[in-house]
Amino acid sequence: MRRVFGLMTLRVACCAPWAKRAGGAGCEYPGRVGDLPPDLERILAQLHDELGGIRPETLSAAYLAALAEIEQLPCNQDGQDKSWVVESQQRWLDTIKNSRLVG
Amino acid sequence: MTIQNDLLRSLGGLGVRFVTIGVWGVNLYARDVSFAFVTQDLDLFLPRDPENLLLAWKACEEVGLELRAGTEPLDEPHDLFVAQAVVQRTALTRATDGRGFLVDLTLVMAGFEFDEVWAERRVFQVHGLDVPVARLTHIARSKAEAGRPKDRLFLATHKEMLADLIRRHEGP
Repeated sequence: MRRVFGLMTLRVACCAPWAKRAGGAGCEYPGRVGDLPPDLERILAQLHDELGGIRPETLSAAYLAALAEIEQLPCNQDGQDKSWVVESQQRWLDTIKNSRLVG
Repeated sequence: MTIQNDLLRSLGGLGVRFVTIGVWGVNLYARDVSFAFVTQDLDLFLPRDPENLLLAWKACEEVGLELRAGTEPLDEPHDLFVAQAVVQRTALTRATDGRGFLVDLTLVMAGFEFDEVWAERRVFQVHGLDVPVARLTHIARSKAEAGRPKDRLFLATHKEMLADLIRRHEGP
């Protein structure tokens, strides 16, 4: 099942609460899509405290330049149709939802 | 038609001033699906204006979302008095359909004031609706400023996604 989801699932399942977890059959974390596994949540909270709470991160010039380049793409100008983004999100979420019905 | 579309239509119809931020906003800049994150959460950054906030609440309720403050339902009635109290505390209100869809109505975006973000927003179209979105750079810089573990994780993942592009800007 995980192979079906591919890299996107790998990325979102391992990384973050803002990205959604694909809970396949037998998933231990049947909570809200996007929740981190409790153990990872605890470890992150612990690290956060140990490192002194909020630590602003400095973004590299290269990363900021990459973002600026993306902003300048023709597809990212005012009035561009982004319906496909929302539609693809919905398809992903439907896939995740359906995957939970298996088993 | 999804509840997101209904909400965006309702927000637009009521003339609510907001910009989309967070991962949902980042996704709108994706070149293709491989550059998008899967998310159900919609983060809306609003000015510290009680009347505007009240309209945002109304838009949420029009499409059947329940309003919450923290873990509790938002105080009733949802009127200007409550909106003023929320603005005074720059508190977050959250709207949910109870089935996983969350809308965060935030009055704070780390490192930025609303007017600054609003002035440089993009306005994209989603199913014929205008969707104001913060600049991608603003969203990333705000996450860097916030510096929470989840923000740092986002940035790390995003940098990984854009690795080729970043390398080009790093030069030889």
